[in-house]
Amino acid sequence: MAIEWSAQRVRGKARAAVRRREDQIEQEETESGELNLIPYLDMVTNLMLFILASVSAGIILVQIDTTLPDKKAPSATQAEPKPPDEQPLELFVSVKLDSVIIWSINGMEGTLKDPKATFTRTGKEGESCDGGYMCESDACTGDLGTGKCVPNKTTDPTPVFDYRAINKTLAEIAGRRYGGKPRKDDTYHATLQADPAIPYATVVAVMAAMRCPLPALGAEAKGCEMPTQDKSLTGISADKKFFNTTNTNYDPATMALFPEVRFSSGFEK
Amino acid sequence: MGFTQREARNIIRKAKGRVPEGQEIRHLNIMPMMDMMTILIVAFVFQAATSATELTAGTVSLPKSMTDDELPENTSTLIITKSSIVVEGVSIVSVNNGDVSCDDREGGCQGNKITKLTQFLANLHQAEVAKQQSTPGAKPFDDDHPPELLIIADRTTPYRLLVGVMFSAKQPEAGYKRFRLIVQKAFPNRPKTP
Repeated sequence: MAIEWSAQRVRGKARAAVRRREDQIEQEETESGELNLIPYLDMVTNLMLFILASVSAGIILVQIDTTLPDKKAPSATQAEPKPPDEQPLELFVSVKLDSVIIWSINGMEGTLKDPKATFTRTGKEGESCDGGYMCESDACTGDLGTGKCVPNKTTDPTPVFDYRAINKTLAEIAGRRYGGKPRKDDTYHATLQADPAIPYATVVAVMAAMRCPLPALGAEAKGCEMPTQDKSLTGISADKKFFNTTNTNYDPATMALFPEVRFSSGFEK
Repeated sequence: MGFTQREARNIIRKAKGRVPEGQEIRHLNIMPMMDMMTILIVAFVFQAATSATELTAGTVSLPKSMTDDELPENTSTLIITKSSIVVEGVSIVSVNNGDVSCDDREGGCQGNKITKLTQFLANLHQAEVAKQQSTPGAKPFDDDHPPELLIIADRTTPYRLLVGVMFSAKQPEAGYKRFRLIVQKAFPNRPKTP
């Protein structure tokens, strides 16, 4: 005897059969042995992000030129005296453990005993800053104007001085001596002398203050115009990187102050 | 309305037959992406391995500076880490407490010249000169174009060691007269935006 199924029952059975078939197809797709690339793509994408983050890390490297002067015996013959604005200042920036002094070996800008300017250490915890380079701990928190030096357990402390004040003094010397007229080529050097224990971080910060006018508080460094003897250049180059020393009036606001920094290891008796 | 069992089975079989079969993903071709990703990964891993070789003596924490001069290319690199002086990936002299041993300095503790470093740099300089001579169109070293040394030093490196390294490199046999100190560019804290 044939059993009759109601339309509703047949519909329910058909739906259940369709669902089972769909599940079966999905299961077959999953287990078919084809390479499932999704985990690989996830892994590669994660790795790429990680590697890119670790490579860039927001670090921009820049460089500072320097030389070590040759040891010279004092000259026996007296050189002909030059006009004051053509004479090299023989400027020294001496970095001691507790202070920085600016003086001149020929006495034109102070002497070792009576220096032109003295700068004591700054950058202690709680002092104002606009970047880590102004703090002994290399850590400055807060926004411009409210920044304070804070302790930093991950970095060894290094001596810090008021680099903007050092820079301002050197700019004043360069402007007063050479401003408003072409500046001679042999007047661009100054000697950096430091206590043997002064760390590299302090040395490069002082060098930066000696070479170019520092940017205003909170502004990014843009470099300065460097002296060149390139005769093909008239005035300042289009990219504002060089100026011809023979035909350009010196301006300490935009041009290099004492870009030829020489390292001294001390004096010999 | 009712169906016989056979009719019902037919209806169900037809419904099952209408379920679309699984298809391969044809609309998205990810092969070029995989190729690119794989090549990039290999390149990054290779680069990481190379830089790891250069810094076998440990990591260097660079000082920050408000300067803006770009890096040069094709210059020999000397790295001063907290534990060693490394030139072109080779560890030359070990460093302890920010200085090399007195035995490594010519004339003992008061000397500036680090003998092993000068010797290594002399060999490196000779190799550079030979390479330059064999490269057509390369500018020879002279007073206007002296050999340069790129110095990467840890921010805590004492001035005495830095000068000792430069003094050793400047010896006539080594002949490096210009030095480029590599630093990390410092960015000031920004004013708070309203």
